[in-house]
Amino acid sequence: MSVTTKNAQSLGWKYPNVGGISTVGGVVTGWNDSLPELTQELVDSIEAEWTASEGHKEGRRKAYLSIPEQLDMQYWDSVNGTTKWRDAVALVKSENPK
Amino acid sequence: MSTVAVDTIETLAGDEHARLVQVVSTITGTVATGTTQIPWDDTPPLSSEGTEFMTRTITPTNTNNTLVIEVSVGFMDTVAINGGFALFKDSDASAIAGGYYHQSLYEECRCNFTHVITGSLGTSLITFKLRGGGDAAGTFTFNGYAGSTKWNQVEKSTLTISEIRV
Repeated sequence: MSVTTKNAQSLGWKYPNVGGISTVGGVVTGWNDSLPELTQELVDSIEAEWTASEGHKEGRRKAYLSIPEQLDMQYWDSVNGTTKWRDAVALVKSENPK
Repeated sequence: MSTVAVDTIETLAGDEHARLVQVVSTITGTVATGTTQIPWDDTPPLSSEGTEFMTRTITPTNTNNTLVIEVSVGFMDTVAINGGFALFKDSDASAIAGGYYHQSLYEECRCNFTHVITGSLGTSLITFKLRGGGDAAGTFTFNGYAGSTKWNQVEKSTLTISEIRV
């Protein structure tokens, strides 16, 4: 019976620097013998662990302004004594909580 | 996978305009991932490095002909990498062609390269394999984003081989 994943990046995240892990169309097609036995329960638990630890990061990545825009905000904050950049970053973090 | 086989294309007057013997290609939009790295150094990638994502076979009709191999693949990695794709022939250990990029964090890339083999082809079946990977710990994704398919697979990767009579 094949083991499937809805979040293949979680496997590489869980086992960094471990080669041999591969998937095709969401089915795990390669596994490294040095790792715990491949089971659906193991993959499901890794995905849940990834979501708890990393799930907020993608939302933040999309929400942050570009680096040039943030640098511009920081410049004008320094000129005007405002806190627009810090407020914008804080808003992204609060809207995408860990 | 599809095969288009043609003979000489001529005008009505019998002038030959092209010498395309056959075109074969592998086209896929299926997402796939791998974690085996390809080192970032000045040696050809090895067949034990990276992950195999595509293959295509062809049987040349004449040993003196030319093969034009065209690769176009979409990929990304979940960490910043120097990486890309390398082309291997049969069981050769070292890559014969490839394309590499520096990819920033969570950045989608398209890798395109062409390789030409002229003569000494033989007339036996040849298998070309495409392997991809980066030089850092992460998930290297072929045809997708962070291990997942996007755009319902309308973005595809292709490995096309044309045999040209010389």
